[in-house]
Amino acid sequence: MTSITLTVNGEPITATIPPRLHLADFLRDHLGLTGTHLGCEHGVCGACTVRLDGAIVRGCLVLAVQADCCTVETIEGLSDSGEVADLQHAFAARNALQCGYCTPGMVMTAQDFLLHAPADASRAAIREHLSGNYCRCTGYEAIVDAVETTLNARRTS
Amino acid sequence: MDINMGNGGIGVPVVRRDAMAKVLGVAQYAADFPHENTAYAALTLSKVARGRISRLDTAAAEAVAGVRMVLTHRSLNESLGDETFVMKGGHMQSSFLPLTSDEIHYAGQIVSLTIADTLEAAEEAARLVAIDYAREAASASMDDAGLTEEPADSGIDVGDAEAAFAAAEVKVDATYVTPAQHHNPIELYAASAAWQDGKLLINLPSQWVMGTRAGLAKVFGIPIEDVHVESPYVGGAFGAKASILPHVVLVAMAARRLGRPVKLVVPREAGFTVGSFRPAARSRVRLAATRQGKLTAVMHDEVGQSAVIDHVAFAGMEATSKMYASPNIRMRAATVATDVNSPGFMRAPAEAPSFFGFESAMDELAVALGIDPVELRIMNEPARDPVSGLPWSSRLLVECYRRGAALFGWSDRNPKPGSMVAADGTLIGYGCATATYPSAMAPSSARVRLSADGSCVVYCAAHDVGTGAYTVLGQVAADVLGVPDELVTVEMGHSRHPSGPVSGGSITTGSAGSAVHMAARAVRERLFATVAAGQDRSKMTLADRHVVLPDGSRRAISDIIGGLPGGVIEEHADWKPTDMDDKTMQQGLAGGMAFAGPVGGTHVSFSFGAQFAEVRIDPLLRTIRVARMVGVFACGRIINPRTARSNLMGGMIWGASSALLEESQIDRARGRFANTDLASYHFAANADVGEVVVEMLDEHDSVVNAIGTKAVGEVGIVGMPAAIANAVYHATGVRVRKTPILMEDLL
Repeated sequence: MTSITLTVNGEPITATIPPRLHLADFLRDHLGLTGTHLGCEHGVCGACTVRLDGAIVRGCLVLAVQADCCTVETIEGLSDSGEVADLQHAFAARNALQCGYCTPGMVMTAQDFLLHAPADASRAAIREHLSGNYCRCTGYEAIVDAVETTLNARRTS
Repeated sequence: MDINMGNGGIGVPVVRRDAMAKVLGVAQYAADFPHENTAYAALTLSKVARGRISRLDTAAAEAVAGVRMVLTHRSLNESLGDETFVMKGGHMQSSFLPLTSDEIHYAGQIVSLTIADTLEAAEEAARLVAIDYAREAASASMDDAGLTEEPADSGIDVGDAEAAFAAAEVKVDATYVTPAQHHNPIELYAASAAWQDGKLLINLPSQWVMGTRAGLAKVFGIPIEDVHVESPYVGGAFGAKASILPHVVLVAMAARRLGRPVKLVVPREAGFTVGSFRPAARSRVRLAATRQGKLTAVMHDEVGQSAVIDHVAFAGMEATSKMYASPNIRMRAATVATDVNSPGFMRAPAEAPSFFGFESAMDELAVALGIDPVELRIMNEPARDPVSGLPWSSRLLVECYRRGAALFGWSDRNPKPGSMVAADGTLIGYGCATATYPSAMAPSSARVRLSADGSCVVYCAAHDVGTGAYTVLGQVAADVLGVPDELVTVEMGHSRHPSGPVSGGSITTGSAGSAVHMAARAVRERLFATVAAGQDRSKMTLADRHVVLPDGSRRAISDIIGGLPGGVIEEHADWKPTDMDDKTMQQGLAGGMAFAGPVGGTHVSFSFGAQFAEVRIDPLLRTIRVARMVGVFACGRIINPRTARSNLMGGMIWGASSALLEESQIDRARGRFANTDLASYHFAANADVGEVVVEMLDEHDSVVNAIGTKAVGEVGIVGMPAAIANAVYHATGVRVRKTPILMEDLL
């Protein structure tokens, strides 16, 4: 067992965990943050996307011990702070979700795009950035609509 | 039919009721439910495809710290209730339950379930379960030598198709191949079981909570009331989560023995064999026509991959036989048994593979005739079902083609293959194909409660697998009761609710929706009876939370209901499809699979669509991109255009994915699926998809059911693979008669 100290959604956490525990399982099973979903468990589908020291990572490819002394943000944190409220409303309004399982990871990746994209980013650029997040239902067209709507709204506000 | 269009419930693009829960990450899926003191399970799978377990040693696994149990065929050693395969009238995904014998029937079969205090310990121990096998030769592919075809049904015969084909002026005779595919919903299969006082509570992603309850009650020999199945949110299903998968029984068994909740999330790789899949198929299609383009013979012989352990036949000729007017029709289905896990329902199970071949053949016939493919279909439009002779409940296929062709710009198409080239040399191809899906119905119950504050709750053990059922069923109640949608709550996905049907076969809206409609009407009747006994109820209406009396005066619902004992009006309804007898209805309501249609006593009900694709192909590399898809559909009344559009669009993207990417490859030497993860089983990512345009025609069907809806969930996929293959031919002159269509097929 190993002791780690980290900040999760702004809250300091100290935990004693097995070194082989994945970050996604730590968030879900130890902290009860079940908005982070697991879909493939080897870094392909993007459902477990979280922010680690400001950069998005796959929660299934990071060990919890690697997050020691780091800052972790999940969909719950971004929801509570209101950072992605406009994006979440755009997802709802544009019907950019069906089963909703990929949605938290999709929102995390979309927000990463919006934070770094040029103001005149194209739909093709949105598609490219989101292509590491699978939506099997599949709402790709509406997801691009929602991200584009948010991009335009943030630019003019 | 009685639809109140005045209050905006039906036909309004209401935003999904579950949208905010899902974008915030608070919607609870099966693996998210906490049970106190849960133990974690991990699977060990068979490495061979056929044979017996010759040696089993669990000592090393049991020695891992924290391991509580290693369940194998030796330690299970308990007789279970006689429950069977879903297609034999039971509820199980397979008639064979792993761990009930030492036999191995397919690669990836569960050979042990290890339970530990932590997931990590369970996974470590599962890898230490030592097994030797007495291995036998296996065939996982229907193309293996020595396998025989068995007829799957007596076929369909109208006229003398063989003679008409032999005598025809123009004909097509070609064979089309589609591979095995896996559903791969992003949510993994999971089960979390807890026993309390002999009662089982199980959380799992389910398209059929009532069937799962009935099946588990039988397996464990306990009353049906003692099983509670909970599945409020399902992370994609596509047919994969309807019947009871084997791990569900094993997890419940382990939890009972340990006296402790047990949770298993089935890893992606294991899901390929713990669950079901779409079997491979081979369609030979023969079409004959006059030189003017009138069909004289339609023949379709399909051979599908089945399993040795369960006979499964999905041939889609019930649908292909009804597509076009022909005096002579001959359809035959056969299967080849292989050593695989039992195939199962996957989005348009019968129709998607069959229509790839059938609608490709129609395109080949159009080429042979020199007739435009859209016009060929329109000139062979049947006035009635060519097999039964019955009228359609509604069929606007020609209108779908006319509108779709206009939306797509079909008139710009130069029919000569390879003739349309972009400025940079990219080859452009236009293709079209017909989509259809049967509008079957199942019995359903529902309960509707209206409270004095005007709020309304709908209860039904149906499911929202991402389709929008939470939203749509609420709209039906809101429409009848004249309450705003935001005052409606819908409770589904739990076996304690009034019986709902399996959410498969695109039946939820028509079936559960009809039951909700019936219950809501009963609430309205009671409201009317309470407010004005003896008055003419047919002249009373409900609007804006008021009853409007025949004389135009208004009484607030709050006053009427507030005066009643309990302060609510609540009604239960059991809805039965037309043409279904009472006994079948009761079996359905008790958790059995009971369908009526699409061929009824007086009419035939299908949804229809015309689908168009534009492909762009690199002239040298032969990479294929679907630049545009257009789909125009006639699916009866659309309760919610927003959610219906997204189902149809999702189906079309599935179709494109199927056409160009998806194949469960079979390692024939080892008799197993080879690409069992999301890195090597390819399906469409965002960048694979171009523009998608969906339109729904305003279609009124007054006979299909009480609310006039037809199938929406699956029809979107059906024509798309053929439309894309036909577009590839148009772009290149190369006819590819198999999916996925790959760049090497065009070299």
